[in-house]
Amino acid sequence: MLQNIQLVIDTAIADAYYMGKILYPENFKDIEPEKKINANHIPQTCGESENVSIFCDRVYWKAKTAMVMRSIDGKGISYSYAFEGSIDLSLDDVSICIAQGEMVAILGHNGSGKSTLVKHFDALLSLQKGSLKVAGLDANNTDRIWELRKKCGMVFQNPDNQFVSSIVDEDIAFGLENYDTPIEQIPSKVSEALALVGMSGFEKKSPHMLSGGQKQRIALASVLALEPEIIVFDESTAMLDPEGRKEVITTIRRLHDNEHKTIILISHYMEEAVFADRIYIMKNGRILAQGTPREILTDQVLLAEARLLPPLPVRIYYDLQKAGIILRHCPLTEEELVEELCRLN
Amino acid sequence: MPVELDQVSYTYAPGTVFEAAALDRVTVSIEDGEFVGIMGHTGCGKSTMIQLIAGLLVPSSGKVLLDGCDINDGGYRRGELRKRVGIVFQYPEYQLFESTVEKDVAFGLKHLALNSAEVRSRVAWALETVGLNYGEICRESSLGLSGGEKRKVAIAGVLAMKPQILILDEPIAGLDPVARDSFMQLLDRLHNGGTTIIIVSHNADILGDFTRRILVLNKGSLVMDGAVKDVFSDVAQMEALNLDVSRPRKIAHLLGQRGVAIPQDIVRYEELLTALTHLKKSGGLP
Amino acid sequence: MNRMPIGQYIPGDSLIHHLDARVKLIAFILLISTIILTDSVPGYCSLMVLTAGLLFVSKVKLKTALGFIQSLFLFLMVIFVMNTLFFDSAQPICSWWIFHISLGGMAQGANVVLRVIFLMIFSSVLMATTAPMEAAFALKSLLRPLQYIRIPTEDLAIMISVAVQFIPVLMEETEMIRKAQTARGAKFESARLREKAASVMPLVIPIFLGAFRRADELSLAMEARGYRGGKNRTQNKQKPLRKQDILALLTAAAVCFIQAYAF
Repeated sequence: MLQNIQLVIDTAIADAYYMGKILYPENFKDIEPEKKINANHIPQTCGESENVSIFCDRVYWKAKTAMVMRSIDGKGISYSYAFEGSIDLSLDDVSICIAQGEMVAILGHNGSGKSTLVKHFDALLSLQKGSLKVAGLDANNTDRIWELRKKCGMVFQNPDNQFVSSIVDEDIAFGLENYDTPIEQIPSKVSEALALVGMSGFEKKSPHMLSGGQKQRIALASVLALEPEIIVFDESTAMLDPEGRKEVITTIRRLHDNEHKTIILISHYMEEAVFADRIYIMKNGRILAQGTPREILTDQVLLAEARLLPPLPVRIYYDLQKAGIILRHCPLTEEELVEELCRLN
Repeated sequence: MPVELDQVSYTYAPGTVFEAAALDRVTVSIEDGEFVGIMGHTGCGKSTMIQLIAGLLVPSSGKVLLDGCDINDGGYRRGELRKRVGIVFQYPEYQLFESTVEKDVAFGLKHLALNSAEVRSRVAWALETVGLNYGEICRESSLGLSGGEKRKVAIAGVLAMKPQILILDEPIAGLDPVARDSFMQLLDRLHNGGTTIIIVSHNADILGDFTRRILVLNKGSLVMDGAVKDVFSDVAQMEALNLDVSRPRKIAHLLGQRGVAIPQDIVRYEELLTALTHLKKSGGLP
Repeated sequence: MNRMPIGQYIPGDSLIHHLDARVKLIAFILLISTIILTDSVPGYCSLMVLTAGLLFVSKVKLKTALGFIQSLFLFLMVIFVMNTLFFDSAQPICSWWIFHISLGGMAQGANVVLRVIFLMIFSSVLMATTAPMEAAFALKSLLRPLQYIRIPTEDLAIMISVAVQFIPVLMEETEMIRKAQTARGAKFESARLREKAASVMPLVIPIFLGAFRRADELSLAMEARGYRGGKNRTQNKQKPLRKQDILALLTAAAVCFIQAYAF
């Protein structure tokens, strides 16, 4: 058993190392895998394979953030909306770091500051305190704000309030025109963007005739046309029906997996966060915790403090535990739960 | 006071290229004190159906009966209908307009010929019912509240009329999980107090936890109607309609497919948990 | 919404649908001028033939084109009656007090009513066959010369575009708020003017707030997509007119010329 675990860990380390070496050769030039991370770093409790998988996730992320390629690098960000007599901090000393190509979910109850935070990433709110770099650009530098907004795209919550035109292709062209894209390049860029969200052939449709999920995908295509490095989804699935939500999430995951976009996902659907590489939890303008989905979503105490509910399989895991039924790992998805239940002995 | 739809059809924009049957010969009856969920795809006719019940649309054919009386009959008093049937639309917070919370909640009461003490006590009751403190909030401007509070105020405005039938269209959309749960608890209390509740939602978990009966609409027709466990037991049909069943039900279904002898009428979380513990004790789990 | 709104765009693939919107706009203006110049029976007959032809080619149903009649009926009647009664004519058929009913007056009334009807039919056909965006685009390019007198046509174009795309959303929202307030007892159905006036606030305030909220969100979305006013933007090149567009324009001009001079 222990031998197997050792093997898994070795593979994970090797994977992380080679991935790093391929993606960021200059940073990995002088590092041998043994020197960087070795099997001694395995937590003492590695008897449980769930900890092993947490460990593997962590190794993976460490390998990534050890490099300088950071899409978001924010330190000590504070922000308060200037209301009369109000000194409530919407953001209170928030530090956040997101590696290029990472998919990060930011969770928190309504009013926890998640939207305020991500608006900084697109310079839609100007920095009051702290420092922030987005795709290597200083968010404070007002001269380069347009460059920053090109690197960081944003899809908002209400599918109806993001269109400037009642024809899909004109809407997608809007962003391109803002950056003075030569007119002969526009049609090909529009159709590329539509292909990325799986909506080729919708060029001449009117957004109002589409379903909610389709509208959000068009809004996403409008953002993608500018070829951003980072895409922020500010509760983009909150107003959709389950089917629309599935459509959008599938599209987001495809962009992450195939196009290697940095994805920042704000949501209060735990099921959507399961697929993220990492999760930040926010409460009252502060970051409460960050970690892999497995670390965060299985922490009942933490989630309760953040006024969030754990995913259903996690609740079942703990409730079964109370009833004396111990599953080997804490499952995150329904499929995992069924798998665990079937292998109970 | 039962609601009956008798062969009700509704056609949108008849005689134009946009003509579309939104509802097609639907017959259904909802008894007093029921807690009914309506599911269906966007554009299946759910909204049309609840608006017909609330008398906001007039059927192209068929009858909508309230307590046996046709509400679209010339002799039926609109005021009576408004008093009896309350409807909360999606994102109700957007309909607020008065300068104070108190005035907004009292808006519907103006037409009920109540004296000012009665109005005040109704407003206070409605605000407390949705979980707001009357004394603290009544003089505030409803437009300065947070999103969640605004929604509560808007719902209080409907509750203040003390409707016997309360219809809600996606009332939990955009709420976070904790707010979602406390809102459903509120509906449950109203239901226990005798109010008939009709709720349209995509959230199968919530419907499974709180409603007793589910109507499923597809392309304007009523395709399923029955107790929650019966409707959810037909996972194949629900999948064909592209609708979710509650997640405990889905897990039981997946386990069943793996050959685990778990009852297939599980709908709620507690039921799943009991069944699992029971299975383990009896050695039913592998 | 039981009836289709007047002036709705009806997607289709008729000859008229495929014409350049600029051509349609110019042809429309030409047609209006000829309507105003027409005042004889043969003139109206030829207009009628022209309309029939236009409806046939554009595949717009007569019912759609005449959709406005219902709501304008009273207005048209009033025009006719007023003209009939007050037209100053030398040979009245009968006179009473200040009213003089005359053949000339009736002819004048019919004249005005017919002109309005033809005008409405032509605009119905224009709106039914031209997508709002195309119309906005055409308007923009026809306004383009105005940039030489320092009118920011580029910003204007974006404004028109945004406004046009918000129309269906706002109409839906208006309908929803109207229903929500009706359900709470607002009396929009009421025939009494006083009650009707009192019920305007619950409708108007939420609609305005909604429009502001949407505008606010949209402006954020536009900014996020790099909008910073009309400057530094890709200039849309004017699409050249195609052969069929030029042909259509010439036909329209010829028809109008004949109509104006022959009748």
